[in-house]
Formats: sequence, C-alpha cells, structure tokens
Amino acid sequence: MIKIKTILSAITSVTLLTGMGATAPVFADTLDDVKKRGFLRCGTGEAKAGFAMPGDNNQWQGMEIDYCKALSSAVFGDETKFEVVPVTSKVRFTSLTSREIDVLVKGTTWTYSRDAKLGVDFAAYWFFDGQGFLIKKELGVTSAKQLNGATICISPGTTSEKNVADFFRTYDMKYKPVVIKAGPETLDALQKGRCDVITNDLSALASDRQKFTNPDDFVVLQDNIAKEPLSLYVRQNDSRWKDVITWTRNALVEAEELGITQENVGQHAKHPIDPRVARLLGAKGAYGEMLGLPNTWAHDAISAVGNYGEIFERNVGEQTRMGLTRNLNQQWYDGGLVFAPPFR
Amino acid sequence: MATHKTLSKVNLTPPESRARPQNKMTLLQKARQRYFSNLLNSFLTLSVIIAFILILPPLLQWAIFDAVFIGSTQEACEVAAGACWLPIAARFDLFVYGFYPETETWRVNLVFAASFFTLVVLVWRRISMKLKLVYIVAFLPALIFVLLYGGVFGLDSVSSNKFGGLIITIFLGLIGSILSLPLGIFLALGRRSTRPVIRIFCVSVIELFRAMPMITWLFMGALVLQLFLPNGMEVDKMIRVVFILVLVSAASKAEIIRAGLQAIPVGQFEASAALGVGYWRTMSMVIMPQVLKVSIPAMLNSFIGMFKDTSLVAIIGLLDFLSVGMATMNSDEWGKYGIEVYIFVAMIYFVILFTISRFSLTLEKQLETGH
Repeated sequence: MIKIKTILSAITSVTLLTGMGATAPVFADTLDDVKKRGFLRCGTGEAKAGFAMPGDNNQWQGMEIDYCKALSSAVFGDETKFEVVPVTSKVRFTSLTSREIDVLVKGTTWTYSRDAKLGVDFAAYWFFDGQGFLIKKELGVTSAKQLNGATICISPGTTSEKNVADFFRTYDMKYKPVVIKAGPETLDALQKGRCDVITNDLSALASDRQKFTNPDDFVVLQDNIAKEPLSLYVRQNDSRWKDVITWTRNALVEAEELGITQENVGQHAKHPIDPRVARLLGAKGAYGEMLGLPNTWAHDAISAVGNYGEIFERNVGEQTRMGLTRNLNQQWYDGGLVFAPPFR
Repeated sequence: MATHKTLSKVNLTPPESRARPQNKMTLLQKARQRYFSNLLNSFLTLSVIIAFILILPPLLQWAIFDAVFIGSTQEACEVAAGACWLPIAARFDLFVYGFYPETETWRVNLVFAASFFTLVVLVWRRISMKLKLVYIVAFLPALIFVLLYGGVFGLDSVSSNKFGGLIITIFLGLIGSILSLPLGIFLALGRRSTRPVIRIFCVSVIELFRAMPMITWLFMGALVLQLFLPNGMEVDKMIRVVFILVLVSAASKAEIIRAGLQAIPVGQFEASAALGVGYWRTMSMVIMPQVLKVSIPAMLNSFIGMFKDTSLVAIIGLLDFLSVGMATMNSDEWGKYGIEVYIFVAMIYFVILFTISRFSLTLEKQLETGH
C-alpha cells in the first residue's frame, strides 16, 4: 500500500513538474520578449509559391514574408529584424504554443475549433482564399455539381479534405478520394488520369495550372466550395502582441484605402493633408505609443513593403506567374472583403 | 621498427611453382566464358544489352543532347525538348548553403572540406587509431559547431534558422552519427553491466528509441521537448533535433556494439582480469579496439541510413537538401521541372554516400587482421 502511494505521489509530482511549463498560464508578454531579443520569429509556410518561397537569390519571398517585414519594421523600424521559421501544417500550432515562433503567418484558415481549443488566438485575416477544382478541359465539366463519381486527388490533413467531404454530402454525390500530398506528384496524377480532378486552395490551383506543359488543356472550375480566410495567429492571452499583429495588418490595408504607397509614404508623412493620414503615419497624436511601438510604426511598415494592394500585386497579382485577381481580396469599397477598422 | 626493416628485405615472393597459373585467355574467350557460358547466361546478357540500347539513347537525348544548360530564367527552358537543368544552376547556392549569409559561406565550405578530410583521416595509415578517434569524436564536431554557429573567435553568430539545404543534411547526418558513437558505447556497456540500475536504464533507453519510429521522436524533439523546458529557457531547434538523432542512432549503435562485444571471446576478458587490469582499462585498451574493428561495416551502414533519414526533418519544417528540391518544384518558375530536380538530389545523395561506402571498404581492408 505504501509502495503504491509512493509511486503515485512520484508520478503526480513528475506530472506536476513537467506540466508546469506546458499548462501554467504564461503571462509573459511577447512584445516585450521580442523587443528584448532584438528580432522576431515569423512562422511561415515551408514552400508555397507567392506566399513563402525561397527564391533564386537565397532569400525568402512572398506575401507571408512581406508581412513579416512589415511587422519587423513596425516594431524595430528595420525590415530585417526577423527570422523566417518555416513550419509545416502538422507542427504550426505547437510551434506557436511552444514559443518557437512569435506569430503564425503561414496560410492558416481561421476556424471555430482552432480558435476555441488550440490555445491560439486569431489576430487578423491576411488573404481570402477559397477551394476549387482543377480538371481536364476535355471532360467537358463546367460545374462542381457535375462531379458525381469523380476520382479526386486530395492533399492529406488539410481543411480541403473535409470541405470536399462536406460538399459531396450536401449535394448527395459520390467521389473516390486519391490521397496525394500536393506537389508535382498531384499534377502528374491528373495528367496521367489517376484522378479526374485536383482539389486545393484556389490560389494554389491557379499556379498549378501554369505548371502543365499545355495549361490550356486544363481549367479551374468557377465553383468555390469553401471559405478559407487565411489568417495570422498568436498565442492565447497575449493581447498586447495580438494588437500589434492585428493593427500592423490593418495599417497596410488602411494605407491602400488612403492612397499611401511605398513610394509616396515619405511625402505623406511630411505633409499630411488628410487627418487620417496624419494619425496613421504618426504626424499627429501618439498612436504608435498606444501599442507600445514607435510613433512611426505604420510609416516604417509601409515604406518597407508598401500597402496591402502593392504586396498582393507584387507577390501573387496578375503581373506575376500566379496571376491571381484581387477578387475577395479587394478593398471593401470595391466589393471585396479587405477592410480596416478606423484609425482613431 | 628494426625488425620490421629487416623483414622487409626478405624476399617474400612465392616461388615460381606456387604462383597462380597465369590466365592466358584472350579477351574474346574471357567474354565468352563470363557472359555466354550457357543458354541462360547468354539470354540474360542479351536482354541487358537490349535494355541498354532501348533506354540509354533516349535518356541521353533527354538528359544531355536536348537539354538546356544555359540561361537563367524559365523562358530559356520553354523551347527545350529535353531536360531543363536551369533550376539547379539558378538555385545551386540555395541547395548548398540554404539561407546562410553570403559573406560567410567560406565557413560552410570549410565544414564540407573538414567532413571530406575526415574520410581521408579514417584511411590514413600513418595516423594512430587514437588520434583518429580524437579527431572524429571531439575535434570535428567542435569545429563544425564553431564554424556554422559562430559567435566565438570573432566569427559572426549565425542563427540556425539560416541553415538550409546541404548544410542541414551534412550537419545533422554527421553530428548525429558522430556524437552517437560514444553514447552508443556507454549504452552497450551499460546493457551488459551487472548492476541492475544501470542495466535496466540502458536497456530502457535502447529499446525505447529503437522501438518507436524516428518521426515520432522528431516531433517529440521539435515540439514537445520545448514545452517541458522551464519558461524562458530556449534550446535551438536544430540542437534539439540533433539531440533526438543522437539518441535514436546511439540506440542502434549500442546494439551493433553489443554484437561486437559478444563476438569477443570471453578469454580476453578473463586474461585481462587475471593480469589485474581494471574494468575501464580492459574496455578501452583490450576490448573496444577489437569491437570497433569488427563493427565498422555495421556502423557505416548505420551512418548511411542515418544520413538518409535526415530528410525526415522536412516534416518539422527544416529545409534540408531534399526539401530545397521540393520547394523548387513548388515554385512558380521551376514547377515544371520536378524530375530534373529529383535526379539532381538523388545524384548528390548517391555521390556522397557512395564515396563514404568506398572509403569504409578501404578502411575495412586495412583493419583486416585475417583471423
């Protein structure tokens, strides 16, 4: 009896000791940590064209990287004070909660259960994606609702897997899943007829189509079967840092609305006419200080990477190989979903 | 030394009568004997030749004659009927140095050179075994750490988040393998210990790390370990991964060494004990040199396995050599040229591992004592 008791107490004390680090509420403030450390750790995707991709110049580039630059500029006034920590879908949330990264920028859909139970907080949208289908033109399919009985290539462990299941159940259709990790193998499978359709994020499908020898033989269906608001995440109960993440994004969006670009931001900062511009760029009031940042935070972020529209066009826009249209990522006044709350 | 010299003067060539009969066959006869000795052999030979004729020309046509080697953008490849090797040229630095600062790449080159030099050291007869071990187990890891991480001796500190490509592969493969050697030896000895506490501990470590897949341990090292550390204490991710690789590989090395230990006749232990030599001296002077000698093939086999296993770190987001290849295939410009990238990656792995296996063969021959 005594023995069992000792063992039990030993086990409890070990669990308590090890559990301390894991579950005890962490009151450390990431903003302070980051400032003390002198740079921030940005959790980005490991290789997604247009979003986070090592370029031929050995530098990371893409929309996610640009956000990291903006954040680094906002906090330090220097766009280079960040480290890219690539995270995979499997490890991204644990990397965040185990403090390996300060912010999760990798395209991660904001969902109810993630927000509710994973110990992370949603901070802001960064890109509105959807889910669609890439299919051979010769099949003559024009709508996703004609896909009954199709063989579908799906990447494992993603929200797209579940979305497809939901979609086909809703319309009472059947499909055969072929589970292949997204990449050249999937394209090969489609080309060789192992599957009739590829499903993935619309942003990925657009660029996938370009990788075929004759892209014109393939078509991305018009249907969008899911909402995929790719978002920025921080650790739970880290509100000061969350504010910095949210409002850095908002500043870049607001800049587009106010017509502030990377090129003219200096001009605007010197001679602000619009009081909204003056507040944003720190010419009036002490708006940066409210966040614990320098007053020129927004100015620094914009001069590092430009406004939201510029970031979009440079990385994934119609001039790039990705060739995406703004679509849902247009400003609210153009009919899109991109919107920044008022700066006042 | 003196006896050795006099010995070498003695004519040791066997007398004419005992020499091997000279093979006087012509080349044609030889070929006939070797490849067409019976119907089955002739059939096999012919099939292989036909297969070569069918495969080789189109392969060469694709990989070399129709291929594009010159240019820097994807447009140059659009016209190619064959392979496009430009992604490799354009991203060569990424493949080799990852994101390592451009001005500091000489340090990486030095690491590669030191790693290659290790192979030379291994087969260099003039260097004593002890010196070899000191170089490999102590000097080389220290040198690699200092060069890659910097921060001492006036070298700029480089974050491990800047590592990528071949750096990660070599770093993890080499350090993981080397540091696991001493640990493996201790685990193997501990497993044979007469003290239950030590024995049970060593057996548990070995079995635990052998019985679970490497991926599980990598997740553990990359994610869970950090949660157990006290708040504010941070251990570099790369170091945590090395820690895991060392343990996994030490567990398998311990078993190799245990096999070696069992191959040593018990008389060796007894003779040593009879002479009054203590446990540690017996082990280090008598037993281990023999054990290591017999375990070299198995060790190198485990090293090669380990080296390839490092590509698993991709799942925790480290961009090793293979992952850089995968990233290249996912990029907009080079997405069409996945096959070329895979071939390149496979070739580099092959060159590295084949070189190592050749060197190990030489080493084995050298240590052959001909029992």
